[in-house]
Amino acid sequence: MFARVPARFAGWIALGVPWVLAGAMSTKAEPPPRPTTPLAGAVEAFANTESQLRRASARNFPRDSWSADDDFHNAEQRWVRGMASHPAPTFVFEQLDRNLRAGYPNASRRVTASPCKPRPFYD
Amino acid sequence: MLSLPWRLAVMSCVAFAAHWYAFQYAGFTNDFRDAQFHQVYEHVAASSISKYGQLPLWDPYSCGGMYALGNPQIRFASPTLLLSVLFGGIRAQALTACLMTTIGMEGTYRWFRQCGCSASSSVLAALVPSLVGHYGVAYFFGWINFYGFHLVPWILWGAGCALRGKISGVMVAAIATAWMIGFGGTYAPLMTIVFAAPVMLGQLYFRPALRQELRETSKLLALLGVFALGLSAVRTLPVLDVMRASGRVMAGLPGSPLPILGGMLLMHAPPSGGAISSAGLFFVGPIAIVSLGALGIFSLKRNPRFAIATLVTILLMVWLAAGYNVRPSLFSWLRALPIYSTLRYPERYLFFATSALALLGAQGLTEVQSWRHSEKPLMRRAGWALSISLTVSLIAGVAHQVVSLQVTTRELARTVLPEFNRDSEFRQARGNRWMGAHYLPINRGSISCGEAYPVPMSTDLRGDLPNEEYLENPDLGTVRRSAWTPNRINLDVTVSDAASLKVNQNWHPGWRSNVGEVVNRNGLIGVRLPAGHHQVTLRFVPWSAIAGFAISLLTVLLMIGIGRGRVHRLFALVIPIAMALSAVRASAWMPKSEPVNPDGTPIVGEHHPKIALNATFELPVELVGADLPKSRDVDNVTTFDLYWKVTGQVARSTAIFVHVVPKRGNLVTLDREVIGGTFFLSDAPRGVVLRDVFGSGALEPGRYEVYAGLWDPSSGKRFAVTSKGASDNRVRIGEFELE
Repeated sequence: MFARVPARFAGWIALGVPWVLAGAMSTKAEPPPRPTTPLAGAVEAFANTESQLRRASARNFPRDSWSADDDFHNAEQRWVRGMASHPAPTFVFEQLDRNLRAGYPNASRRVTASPCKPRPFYD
Repeated sequence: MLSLPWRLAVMSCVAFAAHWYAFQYAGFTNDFRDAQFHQVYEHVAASSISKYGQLPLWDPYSCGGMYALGNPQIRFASPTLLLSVLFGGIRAQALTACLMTTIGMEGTYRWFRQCGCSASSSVLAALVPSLVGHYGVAYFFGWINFYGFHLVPWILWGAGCALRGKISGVMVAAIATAWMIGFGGTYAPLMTIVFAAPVMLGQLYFRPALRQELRETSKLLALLGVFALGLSAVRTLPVLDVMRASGRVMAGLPGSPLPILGGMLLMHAPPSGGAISSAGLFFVGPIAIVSLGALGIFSLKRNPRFAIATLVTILLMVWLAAGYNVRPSLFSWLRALPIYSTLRYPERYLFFATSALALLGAQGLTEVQSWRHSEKPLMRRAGWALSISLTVSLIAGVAHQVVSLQVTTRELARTVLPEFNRDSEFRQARGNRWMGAHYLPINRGSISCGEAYPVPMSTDLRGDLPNEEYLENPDLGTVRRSAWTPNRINLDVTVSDAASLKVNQNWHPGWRSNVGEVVNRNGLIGVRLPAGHHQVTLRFVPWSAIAGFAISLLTVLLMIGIGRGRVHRLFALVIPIAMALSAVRASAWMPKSEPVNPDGTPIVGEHHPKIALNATFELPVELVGADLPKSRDVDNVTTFDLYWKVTGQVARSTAIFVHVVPKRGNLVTLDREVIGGTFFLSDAPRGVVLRDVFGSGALEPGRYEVYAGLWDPSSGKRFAVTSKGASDNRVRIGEFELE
């Protein structure tokens, strides 16, 4: 009887193998460590360039608030990705968030939303 | 032949191999911009269930708060949500993709078997459409919801069973359709109907046995439609709630010439610099296509009429895939239908063309396999030789597809998220929609939003508040958050007088409070409170979700009852009636947004242009007036406002041209196809003045003249100006000088 069980279930066991492997692989990524170098200085330097970036975005997308805001955020994320010494962008965004909250209520930096108004789709 | 577990094991192994790199990087965030918001949606939905024990109705992390279930792109209203709950929304992506691929393979196998193909040919040919390169592209961009196309063969198989009088087929097709819709496939079911129609008609026309029972089968197909509608109500009603308030604007005439479509199917270019070229977008590969094509020839011998019908279906799909690039354009006719008007990416019909080609291939392989049992020795030998050679070449083609998918998924931009900070309180951050998933570990929402539709958002959202819930007049008392979850917020409020409480999230009529009245405070959630001490509980319970859940549940009960023969089929009519009744409570739905220009100013209203023009055209369109710039604004932008009135029928292709002509130098064009980024002239409100604002950041100092008119960009033809004083079929608006 026991000899027949594996044969009956061989197909199901074979089916289980890739899924067990897939499940195991899905849990293996390790979170990165917190960076040891302080980010506050770099974020402050970026904050000082914000008004310049905002003006460039407004010229790139004249009278289009959402597109201009989005253009600014694109520049911001490029800068975050460019900080090659810090592997996890989350830590940079966390510092940006702290920096903005420390300046509440921010008069010189924009912290409000531009309602999403996607441009017409051409595809 | 392969039993179900062995067949599924083989299919799972192939799907696993195709997603090898996806699993290598499972747990990494996909850093492509679209993937970012998709990952946030799925993560928030999964954690709403696992962490807070709530249904994922509201997503406070995206765009300052949005109706999650109503977002057309979410994929969590499907059984795969279980994987996200177990593994986390981001880690479960590869598992979800692999599972959907396996499901697609099995569905295709069943569909092919139903069409008379042998088991071995069906297994092999089913792999081809399930490994189309666009799945890799979709994974690369984070469009996991595209994997909903794997349910297409289940719909076809179920509908085929229904055509044969089986009620179980109705159930399968209805469940597959609802799953597809719940998985974020808002286009997929509509596209499937277009594909299924010729396939089903072909089956009906060429199989007299089916035709004889047309009356009964048409009843079953109608039942299928009603069940699919009812089962998916939990998703479609919330989506309607959102989309009727703010729809998408489709422009352009998408399409590709046949050589480009060929390149999409035959060539494979690995992603480069975070982008994917059109070559290989729907990669099937030369080996698989030639093998299937060769086998297709033999299918003509097996069942000529069926083969011709399938061939015609392939041609129809290719015709659709060419979009506006061929004349006449079948895609343009399809888009003229109301529910198809927002259809994008015509090349996606190549997916269906591939499925039909694989069906032809399976038919052909079945034919040559049958020759192996011929009494004629030559035929027998040919059968063996062709079966082996074409099977080997098809296996080689599938292997090529697997490698192509691996290469595409290997190249996706990725990072690992840090440990989630479980102690941090939820707050809105300024955020960044390009990398929104990176705000999840610090428990911050992003008010920077990038969606495919105009999400109703408040301009009062802030990303730096010390407290997310506050009194409009802080002198009137205090607010303390006692508990926070995505769908429910508990607050301890003390106010000395009647006061207005604000929550730093977008308003929706689904928000309710146990004390006072929930109101829309310039787009934010507001609560009018009486004086005193209150334990305020705000809950998100949208009417469209309640009605959707109720109708879906009712449908499940009816499906069980009708399936078992305990309930008469006519009772299924309750479903569309319930759907119609649910729309009656209009006050519970999100109100329609006022159309605004991209700078936030209203398009329709009492406008008073500084320059009156009252210029008329051969079309029922009037250029009422204009405002010209006096100088550049603080951002160095030169601004223009044109005021239009449409009084009758105008073709969709009608557009506006604006010429800014310097005294010296080249003319600057500021042409407009869509007024205020919202209306084509063809669908603009009639008889009202429409303000269209635009600007330029590139004008040099100098004196300029401005002209405007109407034209058809596809032909280059200008429409005649019928009012006096115009020349060259353009209206002179005026002139201005920039310092």
